[in-house]
Amino acid sequence: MPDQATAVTATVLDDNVTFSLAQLCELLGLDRDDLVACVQEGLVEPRGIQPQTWSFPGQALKRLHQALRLKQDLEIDLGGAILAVELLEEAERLRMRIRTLEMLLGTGR
Amino acid sequence: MQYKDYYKVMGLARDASADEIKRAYRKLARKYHPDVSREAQAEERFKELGEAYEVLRDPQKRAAYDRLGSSWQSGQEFTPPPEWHGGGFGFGPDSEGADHRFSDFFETLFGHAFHSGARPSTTMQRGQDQHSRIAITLAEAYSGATRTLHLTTPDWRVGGAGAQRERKLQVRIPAGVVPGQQIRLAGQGSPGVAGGPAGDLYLDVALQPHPLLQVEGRDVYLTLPITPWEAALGGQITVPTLGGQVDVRIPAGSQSGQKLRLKGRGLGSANPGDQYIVLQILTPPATTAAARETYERMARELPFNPRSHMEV
Repeated sequence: MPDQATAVTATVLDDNVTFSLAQLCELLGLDRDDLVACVQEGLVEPRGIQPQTWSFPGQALKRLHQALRLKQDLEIDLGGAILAVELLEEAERLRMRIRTLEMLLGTGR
Repeated sequence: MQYKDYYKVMGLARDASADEIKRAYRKLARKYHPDVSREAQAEERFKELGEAYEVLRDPQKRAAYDRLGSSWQSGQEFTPPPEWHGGGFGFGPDSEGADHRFSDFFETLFGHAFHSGARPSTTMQRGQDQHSRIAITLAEAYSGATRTLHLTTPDWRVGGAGAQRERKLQVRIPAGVVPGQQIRLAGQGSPGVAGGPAGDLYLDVALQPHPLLQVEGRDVYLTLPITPWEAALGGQITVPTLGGQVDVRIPAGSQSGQKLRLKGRGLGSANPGDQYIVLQILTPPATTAAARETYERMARELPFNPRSHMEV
């Protein structure tokens, strides 16, 4: 185990970070057509009309990672993976809502 | 090294058909996938499942595994038979299993996931991305934090199968991160192959519970207990926020459950959320004669039916 830690600054993948189509393809190891399919299926929504001018918000990377993992690991098609991502996000939103309401009702902790 | 009963991991009989193996994998993968499952050991179970499936779905690997015999028990101390040739089952970094670290048992029987009989690839490739989670406090999310991470990454540059490198990273997490967001550490994933660039490290941010504040997206909620007279008459009350204490004016005639909004006092850097204060009126107990007399006088002088809408 090295004694010295390497200092690195993290980038939060939020609205302040954007990716082009080519950048996302490189980061994900995806073909252009596969990424265009993800856009056409509604998994991620870029700004811009033409693919060469598309700009994806930073959050898109997390959705793409998750959908591609689910597609491969569960051996399902892209549409099924996107549905799973959307349902997982909805479940997380509802879990947070429940935690808030439990706290407000004094029943959560 | 411990023997792994791949049939047991997948809940299958030793004569299971290829279809049964595939069905069992899909069913268990849905149950234990770390993106889906809330079970504590999900990640570990999913890794075991992936390893078992890697062997049982491949007729050659399955036949070799079956040749070990059925008398072994899961977890039993194992050494491969002397005639076992090892390796020879190489599957390169393009295969699905390439980003998984399999057990010593698997690697002894079938060779390391990356190496094909310990022959490293000569094709330049970007390193694998790595994914992990990081739990930070609400205060750290608001103000930023520095955390030291201990990482173990495969090191293809070192000879021999399964070489690992341990690293320490001091990570500066910027202020304003929101739970569920992803943090990227460029170039901190697995090293590239044959001169290729390193992959990235991604951290999913989770928040540790806070004793007073509950986070929902970018917004923060606080239940604020107040007295009946503060609710009725209004007043100035000091409340905790992420940025420190602030004075809040409670309007006269406030009721339990009423929400007050402190704009921009939630999480997020560019477009911060709000803090909501939810009022909760608490009544003092009538445990003394004086307190009882006060309540009785209120009952006489403040005629009030909170159930009038129920017509009872």
